Amino acid sequence: MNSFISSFKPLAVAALAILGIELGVQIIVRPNFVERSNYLDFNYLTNELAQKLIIYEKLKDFADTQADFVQVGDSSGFHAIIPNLVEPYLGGMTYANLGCCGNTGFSGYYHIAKSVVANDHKLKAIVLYVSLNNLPREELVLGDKSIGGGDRIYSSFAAPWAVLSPPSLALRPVVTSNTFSLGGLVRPMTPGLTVNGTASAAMKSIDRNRGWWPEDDLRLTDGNPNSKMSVLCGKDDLVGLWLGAPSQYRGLFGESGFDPTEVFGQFADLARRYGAKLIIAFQPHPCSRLMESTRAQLRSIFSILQERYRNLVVVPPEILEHWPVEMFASADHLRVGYEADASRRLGRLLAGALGLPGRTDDVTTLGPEERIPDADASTEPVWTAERFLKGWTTFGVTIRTDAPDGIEEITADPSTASHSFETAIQPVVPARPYVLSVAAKPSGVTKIRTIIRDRKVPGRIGTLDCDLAAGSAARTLDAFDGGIEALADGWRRCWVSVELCDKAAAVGIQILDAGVAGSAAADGGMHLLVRDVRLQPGWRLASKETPVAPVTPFGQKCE
Amino acid sequence: MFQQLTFNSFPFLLFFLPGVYLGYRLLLGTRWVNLWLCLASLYFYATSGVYYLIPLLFTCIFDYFVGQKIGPDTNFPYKRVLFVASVSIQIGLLSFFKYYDWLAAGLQPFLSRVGLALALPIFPFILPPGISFYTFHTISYTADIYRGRFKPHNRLIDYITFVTLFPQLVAGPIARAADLLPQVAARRPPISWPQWETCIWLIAWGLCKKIVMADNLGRLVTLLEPHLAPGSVSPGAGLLFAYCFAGQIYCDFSAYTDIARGVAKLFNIELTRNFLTPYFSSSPTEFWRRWHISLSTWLRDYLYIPLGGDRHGRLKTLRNLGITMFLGGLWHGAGVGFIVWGLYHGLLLVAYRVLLIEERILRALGGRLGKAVAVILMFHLVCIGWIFFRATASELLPAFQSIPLLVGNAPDWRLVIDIGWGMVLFGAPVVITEVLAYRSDAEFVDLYKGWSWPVRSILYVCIFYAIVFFGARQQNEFIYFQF
Repeated sequence: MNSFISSFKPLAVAALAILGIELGVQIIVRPNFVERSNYLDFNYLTNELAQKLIIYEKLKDFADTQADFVQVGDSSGFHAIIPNLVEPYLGGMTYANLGCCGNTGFSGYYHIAKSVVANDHKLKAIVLYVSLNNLPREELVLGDKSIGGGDRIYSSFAAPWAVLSPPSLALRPVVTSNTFSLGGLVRPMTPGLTVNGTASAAMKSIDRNRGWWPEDDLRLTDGNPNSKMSVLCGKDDLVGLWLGAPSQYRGLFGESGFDPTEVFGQFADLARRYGAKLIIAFQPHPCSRLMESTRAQLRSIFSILQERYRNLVVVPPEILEHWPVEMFASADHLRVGYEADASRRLGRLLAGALGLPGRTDDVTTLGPEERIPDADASTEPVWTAERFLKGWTTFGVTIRTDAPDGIEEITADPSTASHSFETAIQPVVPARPYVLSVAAKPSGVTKIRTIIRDRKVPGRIGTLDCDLAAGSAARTLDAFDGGIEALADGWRRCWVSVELCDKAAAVGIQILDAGVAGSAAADGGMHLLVRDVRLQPGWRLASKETPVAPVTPFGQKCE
Repeated sequence: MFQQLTFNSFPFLLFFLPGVYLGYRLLLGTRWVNLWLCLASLYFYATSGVYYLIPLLFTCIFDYFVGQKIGPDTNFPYKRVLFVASVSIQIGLLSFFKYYDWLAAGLQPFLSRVGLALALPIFPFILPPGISFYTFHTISYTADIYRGRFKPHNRLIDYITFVTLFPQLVAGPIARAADLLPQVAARRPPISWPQWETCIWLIAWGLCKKIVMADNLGRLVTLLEPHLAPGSVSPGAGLLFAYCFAGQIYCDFSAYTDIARGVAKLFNIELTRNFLTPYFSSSPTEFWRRWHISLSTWLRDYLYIPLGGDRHGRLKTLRNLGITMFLGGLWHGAGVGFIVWGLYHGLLLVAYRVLLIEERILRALGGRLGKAVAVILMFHLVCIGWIFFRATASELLPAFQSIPLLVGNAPDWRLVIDIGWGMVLFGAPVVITEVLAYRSDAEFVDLYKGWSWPVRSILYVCIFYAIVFFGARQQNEFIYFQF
């Protein structure tokens, strides 16, 4: 007995001390199961992956949700479904968007759902919202482990040992930030979870819009050979589906078993356990036809499952709902602006599936008087650039002022690392969206970033990275929309829109590829021709490239 | 949800180990206990891939029957032939899995260049985990029987348990039949409470070393890699890379050994010690007496001494050292880096013997200072070896170029501060514990018994919170799993 006591005294005392500390943390900090999870890494000198931050933020926000509808699935729904616009169709019921990313896999969607619905006593339905391009196949079941896919989500939130996670794990951000920076002595402390701009914008939007984040999409000019959209549907306009066939092999430990019926069935089973429905909802698709064999395979899977699970509903019942290709940024993602349509569509489909009274009007949180038309060539600009040397600040560039036809020739100085030019504009009417557009022609320089921001710090800032040679553009940060269009004689127009919240703004252009080997012009220099820089009120620049779309409110008003 | 079992995984610590121990205690004293341990070990191994059981069981069973035939009590006329065949088959199997694809891919261009249009088939096999370890386990068994040092064991299940015993199956320590098989075959009493405490201590400290120190030092190694890209070499980055990897590999491998020893102790089995403050060695000979002890003694007993050891003059001794270290390097894996690393250590052994480097330093500088200088020199020589071991082909040259660049060039201070602070955070605990251990001529884990209970309690609390706050969240495999 003595040896028992003396052997276990150190362990028992340590265990009691740990228990006391953990109880104290639980009482004071009161972390939820997400905050005291192992999901994020907090590695030394390494930013957290944006995708993991998004999943973490969503789970943290919805850990104790009492939503009637919980959506999981891929990024098609993450970007397309705005809960505020779905709910008016649901007769007062609430909706939470926990969709994230296709590479978390169906296992990831499942464990996200499982973690959240366990605490949700009001649950009416789990909505599995996916693109037809991301149907279950082997590589989309377990997901990508390295980016925090299914295995990691399971291990952190849904595994039996997840309940053992100590409350002090919630203090990791503070402890690691202070220790890794030595209290700010060896490097600046990291406030909060991330310093990554894209992830910050996503997390902000998730918090404000109950899980929705506007598409951060790539835009391409007409005929761009890299455009997925141009080859997606083929000449027969068929959906190029890859629905995995059930594998015959099942390993001794079940590691290779795969059956799409079982994959969907697990979700139905989960919903049934909570007395809820499983609604499998498919994103509209840019191709107009679904291969008959695939439709038959899907119908067969759903009919087997509906016999087994009375709580399963598939919407739309036809499986494929075609929307014009112009409404898509990629095969899975709708262009920004069409989320409202997608959300209303889902609202109606869910109401129909649950037998709720139908509602046919278009719900919008913006009143008609608040609607701002798209800008086009006839919209009066609030500002146009005169000669750039007048009032423009330059960094590492020289501007030739004697070029004809209002064209400016910008030359990057090879001896400096940064190349940009910008100017301030005031006054502008605050709390209004503006479109900054620039016509540019590459001459050595091929990649530029157009920037529009207001004077507030931190304020609104929207950027658009334009690849003038490839004819592609991608917007970031607070940019509402952006695009690139081809003009005559090798010119391109890049445009980006932002809602400005201050009376003063700044616009700028940054050269991104000066100094990149092999990108100089014929004379060895890095030049860029620019003309027609203008700022117009509006959400987007309407042209044949950007057909008029309904305005999707961000839900984040200027303060 | 099914996943591979490793010492640092929740399923292993929360389910597998307690479950196996519970079964073991229930069956203790019966003839089924080793069958239980054997099945548990095979299950543990199969979680890496069921197919890996095939070469493992073949190796086990084949050598068991070879042992029966070549033992002293049989009149089998071709003992030598059978023994040679057995060793050849085991080494052949190991070589096939480990080196065939690498050799075939390397030879193909050479064959084409000399006009031989011979297409060598490539088999994309994934290396069975621990094959280098269990092959050496079984070779030691047949070799000891052949040399009359050990009698063949008559119970197959004990033998398979000895080879496959899960604590040491995938990354050692390399067990000798003479050490381990009698322990496995004996009727073992349950462990005492103090032994229990030692088990928990070994496992806890091992986990802390792996998750907090090794994995974070490994991250520093990864962060340094971009600074070793051709054309963008930072002065001194190679040195930082070597320091960090020296810390990572030691913490990683010694952590595995600590956990393996702790787990084996639960079943009242003592595994051999594998490390003894190796970075305090003042010569290559001493280093190999302190580093991966089970491998170096195995190579000594089954390779160096059979080759003639130091019995046939100086030149042959040096040759034998070179061959042993070359094969020791090759044992680690298919790759020029491992071979160069082995040869480099062979060269160090030869150079220290021929040039009497350690003796000269001690003579010139005297006792403690001389010893300190010799230890620092040896540590840096070992670090240079680690560059061969860890760096990729494209990083190798920049890593070495970056060291002389320090002369006359200021290092990238941002990098030095970032990596340096990381090394302090994750490396200082191991430096402090190693100093304490070296002063007592023991391993740090051995010092535990000498501490009062409050010190032990504080240590457990520190380990717990170190893992909670700083533990690497990705479940990284132990480095030696790949060997």
